[in-house]
Amino acid sequence: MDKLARFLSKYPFLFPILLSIVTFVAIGWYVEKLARDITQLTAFEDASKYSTTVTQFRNFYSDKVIPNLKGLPDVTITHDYVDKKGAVPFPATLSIDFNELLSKQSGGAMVRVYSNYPWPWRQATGGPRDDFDRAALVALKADPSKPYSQVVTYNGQPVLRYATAIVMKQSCLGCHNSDPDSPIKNWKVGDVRGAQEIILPLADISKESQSALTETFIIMLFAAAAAVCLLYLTLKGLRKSLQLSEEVAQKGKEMNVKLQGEIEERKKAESALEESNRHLEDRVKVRTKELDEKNVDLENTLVELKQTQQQMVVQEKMASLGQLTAGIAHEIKNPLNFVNNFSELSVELVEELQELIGKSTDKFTADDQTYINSLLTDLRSNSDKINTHGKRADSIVRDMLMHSRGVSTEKQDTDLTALLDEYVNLAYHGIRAQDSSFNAKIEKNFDTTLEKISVFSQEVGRVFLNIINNALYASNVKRKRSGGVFLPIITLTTEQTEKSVVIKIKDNGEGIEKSIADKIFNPFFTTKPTGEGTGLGLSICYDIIVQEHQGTIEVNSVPGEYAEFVITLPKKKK
Amino acid sequence: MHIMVVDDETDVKELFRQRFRKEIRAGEMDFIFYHSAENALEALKNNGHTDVVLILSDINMPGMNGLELLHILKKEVPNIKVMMVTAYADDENYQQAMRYGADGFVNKPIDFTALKEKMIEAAGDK
Repeated sequence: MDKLARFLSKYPFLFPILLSIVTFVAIGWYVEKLARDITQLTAFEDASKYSTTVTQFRNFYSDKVIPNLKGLPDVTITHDYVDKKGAVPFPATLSIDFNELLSKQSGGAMVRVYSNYPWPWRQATGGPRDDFDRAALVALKADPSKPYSQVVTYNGQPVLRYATAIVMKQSCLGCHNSDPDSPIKNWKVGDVRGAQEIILPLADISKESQSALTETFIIMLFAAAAAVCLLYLTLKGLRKSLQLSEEVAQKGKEMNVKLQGEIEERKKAESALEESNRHLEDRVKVRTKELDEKNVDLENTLVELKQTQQQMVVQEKMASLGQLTAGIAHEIKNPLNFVNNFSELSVELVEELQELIGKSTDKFTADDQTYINSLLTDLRSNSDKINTHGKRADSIVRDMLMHSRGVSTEKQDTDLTALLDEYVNLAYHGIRAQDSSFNAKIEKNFDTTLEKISVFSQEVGRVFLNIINNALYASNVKRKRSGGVFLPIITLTTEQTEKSVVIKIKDNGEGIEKSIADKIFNPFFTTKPTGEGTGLGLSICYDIIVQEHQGTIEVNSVPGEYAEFVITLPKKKK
Repeated sequence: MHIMVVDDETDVKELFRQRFRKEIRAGEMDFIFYHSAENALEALKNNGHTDVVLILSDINMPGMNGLELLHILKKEVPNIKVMMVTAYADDENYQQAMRYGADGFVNKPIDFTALKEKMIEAAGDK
């Protein structure tokens, strides 16, 4: 079905053309049939009229003429009436002869009369001559009122043979039952005597009807052709418009599909956009948060950086100073070697000289002796002073060298509480050894869970010792000033945070004036009387804590009340 | 006891002479001074100085330094004791001196009381 439909849609004119061909053939066939039918019908009617006319003529003759003649002396009614005076033909004979005449005159139409019981003179021609004649006689005998007809080929041309019954009437009986030549003499009214047959050629009629029909056919053909043309044009137009509409529809469809695709794409893009928008917002939030965090980090880093920068400046200063110090210190040691040793030797020499002079007092006057002794005493005293100050210089140099000494030991995990405890004892006993009257209270707030951290323990110990010494010294000064009433208190505290360990060393001594608070870590800065401090202690402490351990050392103080050193050492190992 | 002192400081000679006046006068000690490591080495090679039992050397000297001298001495004349006497008594120098086999290490300014003890101790080991 699909194939057919496709085929038809491919050749849309084939079907109407085929249809019209079939229609033409059908019409042709129908026209042909109609022509035949019309011919036959016309022929039948013509034959019927003809036959009736002939019959009526014969009946008129037999009914109106013959009775008037019958019985007249000079009149004989005979079949052999031609050229005889007083002879009139039998009605049948008249009709036969008249028929023959008609047959000769009319275009091809023939009238015949025949019977199963012909008169003796018609024995040769009056009987049935073919199958139609015999069949007609049988049929007419069976039903005399109904003519018997057939279209047959007769003498090579189509003809209508139309047979009607010749029925015995009252007027006929007189002759037929009395004439000696009559083959049957017991005829009754209504008996079928024979058949009268009209043979009508169809050719003429059919020619006429054919030509009329042909005209009709041609007109129809033209009409049909016109119709087909009209149909074709209409179809073409329809097809064109159909094609157009199909194209439009197709285009519409395509457009629709395209549009739908576009709409879907739009929708997708829109949802993707929304998604990415959402993503973007989230990301922006995350980024903002990250940025904020980074900012905080950066600020912290900046602070650290600034601190580090400060430290580095200090360190660099310290390092160059350290190198210089080391160089100077070493070079000073050599001359000091001589100063100290020669001054000592000088003391010895003066002593020896005094001994020698004491042995020979007699060689000098009393005044000279006294003068010599006073000179020697001064000389010895001077040598002593040279030696003392030389040693002082030596101790300064030693401290200076500590600033720049190379650290050879390694860091080790150290319990700073234990270290602090150890050094506070050392410092306390150290000062007690020098000043037995000294007394102080040591308060210890130690965090027993303090984490061990990796440090140069000896160095850190020195820092503790240095600061505690200072604390003891400061509080001792206050004690001395109070006349021994004041009780020095040293408070030691250890704490820890997540990242670092904090050591606090606090004394209730003189405190530190604000004006000097930022100078105390400078090398050679000291508040102690000349000879008691080199001014390098806290500088070394700063060096050790900040430079070597990346820690911090700060001081809090209220002058006259207290000073507190806070050392912070990082827990992370470096 | 013959002692060789190597130091670029010329006053060292006077210092030692006075510091060891008693020992020198008593004939217990005898000092010979060189002002550079090169001179000291040359003297040891040329003049024999087979009687020297102890050499006291400075470290920081122009030319060959005391540690290089120590290194050579310990190879060439391992029976002679060598003590370093220096103003640069830092850890690095000390470790180096010990590695080269120094028999003593004394800081400047010299504590002569301590030095004498160490000298006698070192020489006595011989």
